[in-house]
Amino acid sequence: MLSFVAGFAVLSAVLGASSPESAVPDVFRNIELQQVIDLTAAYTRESLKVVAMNIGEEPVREYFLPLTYEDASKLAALEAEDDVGSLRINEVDSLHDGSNAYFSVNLRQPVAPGEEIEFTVGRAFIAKTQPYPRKAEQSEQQLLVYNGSRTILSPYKSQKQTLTIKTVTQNIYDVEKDNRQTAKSQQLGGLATFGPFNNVKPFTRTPLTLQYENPLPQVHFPRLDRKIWISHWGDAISFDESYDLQNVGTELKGSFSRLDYMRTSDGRAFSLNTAAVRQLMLSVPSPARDMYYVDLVGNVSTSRVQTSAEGTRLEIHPRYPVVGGWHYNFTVGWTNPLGQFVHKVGPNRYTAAIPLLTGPEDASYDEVSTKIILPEGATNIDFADVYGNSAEVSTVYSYLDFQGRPALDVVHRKLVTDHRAGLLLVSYDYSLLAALRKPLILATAVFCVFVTAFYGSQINWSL
Amino acid sequence: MDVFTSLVNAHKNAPPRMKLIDIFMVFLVLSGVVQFIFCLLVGNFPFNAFLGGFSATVGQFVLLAALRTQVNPENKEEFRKVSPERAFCDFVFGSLVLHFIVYHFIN
Amino acid sequence: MDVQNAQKLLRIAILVLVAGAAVLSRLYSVVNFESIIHEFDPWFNFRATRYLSSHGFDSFLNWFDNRTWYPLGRVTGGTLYPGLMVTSNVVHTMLSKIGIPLDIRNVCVLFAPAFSGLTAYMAYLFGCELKDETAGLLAAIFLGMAPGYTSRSVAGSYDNEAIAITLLMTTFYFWIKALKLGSVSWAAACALSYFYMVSAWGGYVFITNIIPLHVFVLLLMGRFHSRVYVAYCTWYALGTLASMQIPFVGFLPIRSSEHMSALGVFGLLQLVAFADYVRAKVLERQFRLFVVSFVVIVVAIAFAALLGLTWLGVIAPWTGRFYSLWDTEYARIHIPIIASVSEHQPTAWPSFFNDLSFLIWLFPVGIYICIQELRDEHVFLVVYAVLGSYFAGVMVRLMLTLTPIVCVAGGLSISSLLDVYNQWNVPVSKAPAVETNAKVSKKAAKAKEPADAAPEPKEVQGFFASFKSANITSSISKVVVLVTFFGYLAMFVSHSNFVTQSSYSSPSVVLASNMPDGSQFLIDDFREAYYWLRMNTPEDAKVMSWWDYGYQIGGMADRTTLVDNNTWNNTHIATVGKAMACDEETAYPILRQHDVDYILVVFGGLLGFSGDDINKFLWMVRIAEGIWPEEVSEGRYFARGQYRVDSEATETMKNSLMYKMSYYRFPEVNNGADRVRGQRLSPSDAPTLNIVDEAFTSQNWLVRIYKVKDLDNLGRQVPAAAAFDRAH
Repeated sequence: MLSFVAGFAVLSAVLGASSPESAVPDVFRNIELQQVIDLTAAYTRESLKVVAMNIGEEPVREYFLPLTYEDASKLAALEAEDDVGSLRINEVDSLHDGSNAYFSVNLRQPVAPGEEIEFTVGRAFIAKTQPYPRKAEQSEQQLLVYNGSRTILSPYKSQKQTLTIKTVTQNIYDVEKDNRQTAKSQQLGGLATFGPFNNVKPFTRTPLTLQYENPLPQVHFPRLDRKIWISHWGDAISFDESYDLQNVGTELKGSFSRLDYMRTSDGRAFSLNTAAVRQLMLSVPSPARDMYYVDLVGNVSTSRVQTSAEGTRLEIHPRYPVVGGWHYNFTVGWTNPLGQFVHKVGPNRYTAAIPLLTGPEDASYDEVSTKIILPEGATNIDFADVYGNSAEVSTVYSYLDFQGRPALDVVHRKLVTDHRAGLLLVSYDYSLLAALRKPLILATAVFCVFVTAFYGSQINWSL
Repeated sequence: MDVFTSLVNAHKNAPPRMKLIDIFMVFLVLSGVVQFIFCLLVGNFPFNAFLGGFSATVGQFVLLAALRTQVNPENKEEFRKVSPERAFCDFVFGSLVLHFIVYHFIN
Repeated sequence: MDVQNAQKLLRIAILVLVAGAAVLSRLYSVVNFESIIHEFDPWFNFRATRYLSSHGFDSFLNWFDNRTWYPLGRVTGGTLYPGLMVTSNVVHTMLSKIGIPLDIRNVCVLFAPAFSGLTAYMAYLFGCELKDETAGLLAAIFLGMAPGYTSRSVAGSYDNEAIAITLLMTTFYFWIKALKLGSVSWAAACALSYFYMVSAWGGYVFITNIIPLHVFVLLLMGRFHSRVYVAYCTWYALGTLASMQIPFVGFLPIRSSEHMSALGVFGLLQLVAFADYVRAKVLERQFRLFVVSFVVIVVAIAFAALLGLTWLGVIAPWTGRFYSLWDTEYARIHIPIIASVSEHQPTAWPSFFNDLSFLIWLFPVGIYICIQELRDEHVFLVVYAVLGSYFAGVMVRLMLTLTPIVCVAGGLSISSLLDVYNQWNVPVSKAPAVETNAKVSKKAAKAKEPADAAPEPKEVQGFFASFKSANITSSISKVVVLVTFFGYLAMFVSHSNFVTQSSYSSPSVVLASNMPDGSQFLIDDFREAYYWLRMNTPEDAKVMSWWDYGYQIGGMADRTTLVDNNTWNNTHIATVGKAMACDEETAYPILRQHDVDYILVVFGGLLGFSGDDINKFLWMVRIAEGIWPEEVSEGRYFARGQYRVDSEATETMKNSLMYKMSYYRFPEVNNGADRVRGQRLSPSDAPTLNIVDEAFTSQNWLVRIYKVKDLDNLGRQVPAAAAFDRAH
């Protein structure tokens, strides 16, 4: 409490002296900031290592990180950790000013004045890179553009900053400086370093526009609909996932020649043919059975299941190679035993821990809507996820249902493959009576039919 | 002409049920003829209305003829499975179906 | 449990097993491939069913489809037979109401096998009416399994025949029942089932003609009695009126020649009934004079009126589809579209055996037995047999209408055989008629009666009864005959199963072949291309293809097509044919005129798929030639009398759009070897395309989609502009 008042005093004192964007107390000095931006995947991953020293007079517990509004709107994942474990990091709405959004890292212990702390912040962004040129012929390369800043945006003064960018190939072109970092080649393992920049003032941004080649397909799912059916009678939890796939890489201009595609599919030369989505690897929680891969016109036979010690992987091939700008749509489903995800936590009370995402590797998602369908007669339902979302409860009528099954609907936006570790928790009551209700009703109905038929056959219907 | 008088005599000697049915059948024939002449004079638009009405008379005539033969005590040998009550019930059923369809047809 | 109940239980068990066998033998394609709609026509039925279930019955009847036959559109609600779609929709709704939410696609796929079980039951009832339960059971198993029927009712074959044969048997059963009992309610039921049949299939004309023909033959045989009058007139009045409720049929029953025989027999029956009534009331001499003067004059006037109206055009003459059954050369000359369908070709004799197995030689035996017994219902069988045999010989597709009568006749013959040889407790006694009468008294209140207890003159024993009184005392002969026929029956089942599995269970949307190591290799190119169209083209894109694929494009790719399998507009099809057959300069204005965005062609040269568009190309040329004989001429596509596609092809052939689209860049693949035509294209033959761009080709080059180029920015002719671009 006291630190807040102190911070506020410092804030108001400092307000006039520094640049307009300094509602953040200037209590840290960055000894070193190392940022590594990974552009090899279908989405952007940034890892920022912070070594900072408390230059204020009071112990401080919070470290602030800004992001431009544009970057914040594309932010998919955010986490922080130090060498002991993970730290809490969240968005601070009260500090938002005209151009930046602020995030605060809660340090494990308050940092005494003069002490240094070290931690890492990991971020993932969707759609931070765009193809440029937007359209290209089938034989041309897929070139993407990354817009960012050479210097790392920080509210504190930095003594040393370095920026490293990793790409798939060594074909990188720095637009502002108009130079190619390395020879224009298609060798793998591209690396571009910027800096070290010394004594960087707070909130400095130096524009960086990098055009680089990424020969890998940019898999993006604008929409994913998941349905998860929990059945106690069948001892099964069934997943049904419907994906809308779009290749957000360079769009194909002109004709698609199957011949050229067949010829260059060996991957020796990089072109839009190699940037086409030919297969997706989905990791399915094992043991899984009854797997299917269908789309709107029927079964797709080009799939393979690989079981190994690490788990089951479902390798699916779209019907046609999804070249840049093309869409595809498919549905996969499988069934796991109930005990893998649902645990009994009390008399008649169960908790289901359902994975947030089980998609293919290296993909990003715009909107994921999950529907968890509980058995008929489940009551007293609780829902929790990491983001604090609440779920809407609706009713779904399915096989031989009388009152319908409760279903929880929840929507997540901007997810990436790293979210596969996330969980959704659902707790519900399901008593034995509720379980037996459906068979009893069915038995009664069939009994009534037989009794009616018996008495009906005793009556003389002739005229 | 002898044929005609024989027929009229036969009608006079028939049981009351038969007479009723006969008169109804004659009425239907007249009604059908009138509808046809109307159609010729005034034109046949809408055609389905004319057809509906005309078929109603034809259909009802046929059903009545069927009822008549089934109820006629002289034909008992031939209709062993169909009692007169059953015949009437069938007649009602057939008429219901006929008029339902005609009602749909006339629109 | 006494014998009667045991027999009843056994019969029920047998019928359930027959229905089960009928259903299971049709499921091979679902097991081998997946639950998918087959062929071409079922895709339209499926699309219509989906429309019905999502939009409701009213919008369905008034549906104007603007996504087919662009830019004409099609009044679909008024030009289809709604029975099939309405039935599926009702089944789907009822199932979801009782808590089994089946997907509409699964309902449609499994519709035909489900109804085949019902057909078997109806055949059982029909056989019972003709002879007895044994004949019924045998007819049921024969019809349930015969390949002639399964060929059009496997799972996935969602076509009108799936429900039509069930309704055919139902209508015939009700007709025979009405005739035997002389009851109006059975005749009304026959009329209602006839109405259902009219709503389901265009082949209802067969029933419309066979029942009057049956009555006419009975009249000629002198077998007029009141029951005939009651049954036929009720059926005609109610049935014809009901059939006019279907929008597609409309006023045809009084306007077209195909329905005139029913009307004629109706009128004739009124006259004969009147004459019969009068005869009972007046003296013999007066009667004869009366008949000659009155009846003959009326008949002559009516016939003259009929001819006059037909000559005036008020009554339409026989339509091409049915006229070509009479004059088989008519279609080839005048309506090439009908002639080009492979199902309309005459039947080759091996297919009789393939589709009917050993029933084909039991069929004449059964008809002979009918002729000997010759009650009213057996006359019907004889008439049906004659008509069915003629039609089955004319068109392969009509094997389907022959199958029920063959099965019933086969059932009759084998049950007669069993009557003679399957009597094990026979002392050499007389009066088997006493036993049958005893059976009658026990089954007093049942709806179905044994056929031999029907009204028959008491003094004549009847042909069927003579079987029961034949005494074969030697056990060895009984055993030999029974074992032999048991073997035949077993062979029938295994043959039917084999034929259904191997020939008739292919979805034809998915092709299967074998890889060198024996594993199955699925060729899914059609769905790949259709799905590409569905996902990667604008919603309102117009696709031009040959009419074969129209329904599939509409059903799977969900795009607007120019022509499809309905083939109702010959000129529109000829326009598409002309665009495919002419060179690019002539084709481009046609494409622009019809707003075509994409063109789809099927090319089997790389795979060896012989049903591709280059093989159908001559039909395109012929149909176009029918409308524009001065622009398109078939002879110009033949090089020295041969159909060549390599360097020896004629200039017209090489410049045609279809040739260019099929072989675009093909010489670079597989050395240009066309595996279907067996010819090789060298790189110098490689065609160049000026007015279209290649948009997509499927994995095995089976389906090729091209995008039509837009108008040139500088106002040049597009082919010239493309040639200019290529040169620079």
